[in-house]
Amino acid sequence: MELFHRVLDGDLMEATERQGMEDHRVVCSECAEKTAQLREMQDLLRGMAEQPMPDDAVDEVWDRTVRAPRGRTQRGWRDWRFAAAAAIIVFATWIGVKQFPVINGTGPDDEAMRAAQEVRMVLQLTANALKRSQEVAFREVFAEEVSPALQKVGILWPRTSRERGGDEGQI
Amino acid sequence: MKETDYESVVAMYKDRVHSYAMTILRNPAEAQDTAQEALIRLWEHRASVPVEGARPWLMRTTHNLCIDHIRRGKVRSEIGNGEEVVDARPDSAPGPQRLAESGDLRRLIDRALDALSPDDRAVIVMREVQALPYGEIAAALEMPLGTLKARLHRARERLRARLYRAGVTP
Repeated sequence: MELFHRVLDGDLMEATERQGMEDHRVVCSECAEKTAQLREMQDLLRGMAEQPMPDDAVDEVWDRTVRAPRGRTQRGWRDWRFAAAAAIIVFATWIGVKQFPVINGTGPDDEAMRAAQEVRMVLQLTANALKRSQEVAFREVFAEEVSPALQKVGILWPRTSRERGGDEGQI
Repeated sequence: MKETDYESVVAMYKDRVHSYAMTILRNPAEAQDTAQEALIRLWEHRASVPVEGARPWLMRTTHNLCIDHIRRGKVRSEIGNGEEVVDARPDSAPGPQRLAESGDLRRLIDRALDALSPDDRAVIVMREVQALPYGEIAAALEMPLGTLKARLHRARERLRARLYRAGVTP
């Protein structure tokens, strides 16, 4: 029977094998009958109609694939970006703690120290800004615009360091 | 695989996938769910599945989903492995032509297929019903070619005996 299956499979290519099988089938009615049954079965199975997928089931496939809103994918990308950003922040914080254990301590004293440092930094920046604005005010307003008018009435305002040249302002 | 390719592949193979699931599971609702799942999985994996590999991929996925269903016990499955093959049938066998005329042919073939084990049914359906090439079947069922052919011969023999006893084959 093995040979008959090979015939059905198209595997029996050698002419001598095919002829040998045909000769056997002529003399062996059992093999001839089984081969006929196998061929009949193959024809019946090949002739079985497909069972079509119902239209509503196909529609559902389209709805969940090509027709699905792309927001899901975009949201997934956004979620991924947020997750990545969060991971970077956590990593950077961890690196910072490892590199600057005193400044980045987590106890109450460390927190107070950090707050004091921040306050000092703000005060320093404020002082710098005031100093700068004072210099600008004296140079741009009093020395070049207001002072000449005041000079007419005999009042001298302090000049800028550039204009002073060693003289003292006089009222 | 591009989106337009996916649409073409689904249009081309949806009925094949559904028929296969139906023949293996013998349950319309489960077969429909399984076919849908396979097609949706193809969409999810479309970036890595080329168009020419879509059919083997779908058949393998559908088969695996069917086997998962069966293993989870969701579908009643009659095990036919190891049963005796006896060529005995009633004298008044109707024959395929009369059965086809009466509409019983398909029912009897389905019943004979039901009696096979899911693995035997898989090779019979892929090879004899869907006429898939051996290489594709071996890939789908993840078995060597020699094992596949041996299984197919055995499954054919069992099915032939059943169809003979039912009077379907002469």
